[in-house]
Amino acid sequence: MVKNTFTYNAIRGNDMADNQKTEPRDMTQFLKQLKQSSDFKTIQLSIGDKQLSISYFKTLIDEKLLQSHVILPLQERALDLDFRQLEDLKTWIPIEDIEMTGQVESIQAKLLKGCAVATLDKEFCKYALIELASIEGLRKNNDTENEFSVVGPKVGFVESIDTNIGLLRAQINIPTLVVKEILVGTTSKTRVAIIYIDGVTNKRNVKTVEQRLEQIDYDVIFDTSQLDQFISDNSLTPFPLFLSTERRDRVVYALITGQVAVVSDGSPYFITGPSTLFDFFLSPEDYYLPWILGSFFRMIRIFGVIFSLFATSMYIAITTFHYEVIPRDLLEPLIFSRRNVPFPPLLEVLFLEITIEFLREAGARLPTKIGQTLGIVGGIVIGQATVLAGLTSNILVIIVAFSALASFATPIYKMSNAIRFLRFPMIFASSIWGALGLFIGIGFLLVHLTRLTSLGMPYLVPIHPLRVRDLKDSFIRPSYQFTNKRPSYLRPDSSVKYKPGKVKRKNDLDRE
Amino acid sequence: MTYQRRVIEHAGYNAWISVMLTGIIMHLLIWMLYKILSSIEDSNDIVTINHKLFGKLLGNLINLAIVLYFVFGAFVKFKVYMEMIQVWLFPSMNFLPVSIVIALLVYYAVSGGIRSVTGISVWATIISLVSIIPQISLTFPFLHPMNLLPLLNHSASDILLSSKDMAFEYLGVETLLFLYPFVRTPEKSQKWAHFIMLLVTLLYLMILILAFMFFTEEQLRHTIWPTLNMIGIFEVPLLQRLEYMAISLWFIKIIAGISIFIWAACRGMKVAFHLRPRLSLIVFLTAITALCHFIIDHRTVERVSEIYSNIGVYFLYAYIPFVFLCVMIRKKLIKPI
Amino acid sequence: MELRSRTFLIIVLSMLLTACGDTNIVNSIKFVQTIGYDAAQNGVTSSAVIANYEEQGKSKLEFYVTESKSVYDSMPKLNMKLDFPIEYGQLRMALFGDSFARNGITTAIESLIRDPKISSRVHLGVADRAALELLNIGENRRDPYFLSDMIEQNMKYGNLPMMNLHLTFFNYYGTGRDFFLPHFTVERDEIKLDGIALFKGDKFKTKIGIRDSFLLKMLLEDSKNGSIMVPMTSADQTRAEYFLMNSIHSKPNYKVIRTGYPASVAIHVKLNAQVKDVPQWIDLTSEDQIALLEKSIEVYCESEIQKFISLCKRNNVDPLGLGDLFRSKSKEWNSQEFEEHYNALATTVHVNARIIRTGAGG
Repeated sequence: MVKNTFTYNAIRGNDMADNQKTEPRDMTQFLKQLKQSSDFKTIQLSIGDKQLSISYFKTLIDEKLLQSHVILPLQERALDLDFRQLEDLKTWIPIEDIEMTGQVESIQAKLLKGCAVATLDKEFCKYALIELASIEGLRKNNDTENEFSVVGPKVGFVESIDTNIGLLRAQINIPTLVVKEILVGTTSKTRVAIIYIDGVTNKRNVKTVEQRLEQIDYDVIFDTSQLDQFISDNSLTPFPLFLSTERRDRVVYALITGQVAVVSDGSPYFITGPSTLFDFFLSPEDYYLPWILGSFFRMIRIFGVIFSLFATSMYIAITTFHYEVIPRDLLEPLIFSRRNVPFPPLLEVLFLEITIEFLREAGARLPTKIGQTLGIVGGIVIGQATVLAGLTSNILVIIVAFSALASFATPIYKMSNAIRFLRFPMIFASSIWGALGLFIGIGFLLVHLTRLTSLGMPYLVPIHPLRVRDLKDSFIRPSYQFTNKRPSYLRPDSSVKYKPGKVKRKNDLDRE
Repeated sequence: MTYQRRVIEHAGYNAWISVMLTGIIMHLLIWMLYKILSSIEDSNDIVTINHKLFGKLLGNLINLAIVLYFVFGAFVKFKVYMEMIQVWLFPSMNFLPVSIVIALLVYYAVSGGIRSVTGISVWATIISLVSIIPQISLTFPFLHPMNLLPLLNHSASDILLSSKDMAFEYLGVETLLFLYPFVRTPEKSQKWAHFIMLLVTLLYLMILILAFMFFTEEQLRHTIWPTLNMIGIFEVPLLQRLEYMAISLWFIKIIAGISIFIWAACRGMKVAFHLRPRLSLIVFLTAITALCHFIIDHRTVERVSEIYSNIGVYFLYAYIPFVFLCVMIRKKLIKPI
Repeated sequence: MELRSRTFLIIVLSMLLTACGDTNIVNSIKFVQTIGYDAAQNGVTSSAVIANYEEQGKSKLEFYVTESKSVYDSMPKLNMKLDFPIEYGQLRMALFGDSFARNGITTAIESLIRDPKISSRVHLGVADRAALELLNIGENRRDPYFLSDMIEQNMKYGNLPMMNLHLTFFNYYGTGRDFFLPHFTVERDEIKLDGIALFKGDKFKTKIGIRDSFLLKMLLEDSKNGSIMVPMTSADQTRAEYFLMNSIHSKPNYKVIRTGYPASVAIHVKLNAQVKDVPQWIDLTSEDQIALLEKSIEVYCESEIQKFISLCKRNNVDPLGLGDLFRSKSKEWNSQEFEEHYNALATTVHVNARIIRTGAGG
């Protein structure tokens, strides 16, 4: 953490001078700057004896709104002599958000966010800011595209922050849902919202997020996941320290358990924190299925992660060093499949793993339909061909395919990327010292995980520090009967979520 | 790992009584430790207690001895494990690079402070608890309960001697001398400490009795790593010879032990001599790696661990009760005033 | 500081490149899967069976034989004959020739147990001729694990008690116990398991047949499976007739009656059996007839067990671990003394047989 703030502060210090240059000293200089752009328009209207000029960026505002709500009512009163001062506009124009100001900075900020600036010819220091922002160019479709679930809602977020917050409010119908907005980014001035539930979320977490966001000095915020990196506790880690999601149910769930959510304008992704390692292996679907099934699938997912992390490195360890471990029935197929391979197992594994990574990257960049074809071509044709050419053993093809498959079971994309990456150090470690090397790698991984924190909260909680009571919703998804309390490691202001009624099970035999 | 062989040296197959005996003594020691650490106000680690009891100079001398004892302990743990690797996994490998990498891992763990040190210990505990269950169920067909009988055929002195050997396995409780200030609720933690000690004793007892039923006495004397040989009998569908995996799995446990010892030593250096922990950490790790490189033969390792275990026994059975007495006397003397 | 730690890292990484462990890549070593030891003129003949996996499903067995001074240097000598290094990690079977076994096998089994690469599940066996000869017959089976699989399946479904290197070692070092190994012979050019070789100390003493090995199994463990033919006579038939008894579950129980000499012990065996192949005149649905069968099983087993024990006593071997039994019951037990009085040991045997299944159809 400390390291991060230092670096960002340093950037801030250097850029301070540059920033100052873009801030105009007065209005005339500012207008002169603006007139260089061709989409900056100024129209003149005469009302009574006064000249009113309205300036705006054509591209930022809704022009229909301008004509029907501003120009039309003003033209109707063209001969009205009552018009004495700028404030009168408020009563004439049917738009509620009109601000009077004389400050250049706020004019600049608002103008660039889609306001029109109205001013009277004689009154130089007074400007009316009329909110006319257009929302065109944003997608309407808000299906969850990347975090799909079969059961449950498919409502996702879009690129507009207001829509997103609206979606949230629609589901959290209480007045204590607080949305705090700040501007981040020296060039983009992106609106970033910090969302939490008052009386549930620990205030310290909110304050930490707020402070860290305010400390950010960066030019353009493209996506919330950038904020994720700026405010994370440790930048030297492959693990995501905040959960980022485009699903509404996930964010709502995070908020009601007492986490803070952050979203920036222009991004369909929310980040929620503080997160634990386990949060990344939960899928909302676990909660929509009966708890027995939910728990089973969750355990499958956790097993999948472990498998995809260690399967290929285990193969290397066993085939290169510990042949004793191979059960005798597997010995023959294994030796036979490796008989024609001229490389040591390390190269063989690297070759296949990298092929898989190529396929993934290519598949992700290509349009969906071509991507699918590529997957099939890559998986079947290349796999078959490499085995026939004697570059790899066919048992390894199966292992690599399995581990690739298993890594897709992680519901959060960032986490599955981390696991993709971590496979490689494990492969190298086990190719040097076999199983011992593998466990040295695991040792580093475990120590690294225990050292990580998310917003100051240990990343491995509830395993370490051990919180036995919170362990219930980690490996298994318990019945709703038992999930009525918020996890204590988040230190929520109030811990009870709901009060389940007592269940008394009676079987038919008792009743008869 | 090898204690089964060591404890039967004197008491034979009655050694399980020694294990229980040692367990009880350990409970007593934990109680003493808590009493020592909680009874002097504003000094709740051994360094300041030594200062108060024995004066600055003598106290610091003792502190230095304790610190070196911890480093020595870490070294013995490390070297004994390396020996095992050498015999089972890589008989002819150059061990310097492995030691350096492991030293780096320890550095990474210890420099994370108390949190990451306890974190790795939690993992180690989980691993050892999980690995014990299949051990019991899979050895079941090979157990001969008759081996345990007759119940008492060794003299009390033999059993006591064995329980002295057993103390080696319990070395590590003394880290409490440094951990105590970091414990948030000492009263509650004492209950936990006793509980864990009970659990550990039961665990040792269980493994010991398993080994007794698995091997005959003479066979056990010929087996250097009984636990590994026991695991070697298992066969699961995808793997056979599980001992090869078990040795590697033990690595996590070993790392946890070494990290705690080194952490305690660094902490001691910091409190007693105001040295930067990072500096002492680097020095200790370099020393351990270098020593490991130069001590290579099995006999020296045996001897070194023998020395360590003797020192440890004196530390536990003589030094701690002595400090306990001093603290109690001091308390009595100061009270009237 | 930054620069220094970076150079340190580079040094460590470059060291790693040279620091690989001892590699044993699975397809560039030779696994000895079965090994045979024979006594030779001045030393030991070791024969190693190594599978060569050329084609899937059609492994070719390679056979290497070398003579050496003792068991210990057989491996370096074998390496002289091979293109890849030889490894014992997948060894499953060690076979001793008859004369080798009679001379004592301590050196061989100790060298096996001392090598951490060798599994404690390795099976040992004794051939009634030279091990080399027997393995040569086995060679055309094309399965390097033929012998060990044979032992394994007979332990599970047949008359053999549980055996492997660990248990052999257990009995070898255990006080008041003697170990035993499966015994092989050749019948019509096929290898046949024909009983158990009983050892005294580390020397092959005597051999018992496959029927006695069932008794041994029954007396040693809570056994499942195994079958013997039981004779019975009836009033109207003059000659003995046999029926087949399959054991479903048996449980021995030993009770020490007297620990002083002469010692005495009562053996009680509970046996649940299945009987389906019986002489024609027996009706398996009749209560009385079943009782008759049970009775004849009991009588037969009791007398056979007594015979078996007296055989052991005659040869001064103790595969049942009776010495160990007395050791666990008395503090003054002494192995030498016990051995001296072993012949006078009194045993009473009681078998309690129950026929719980008679197959389908009457």
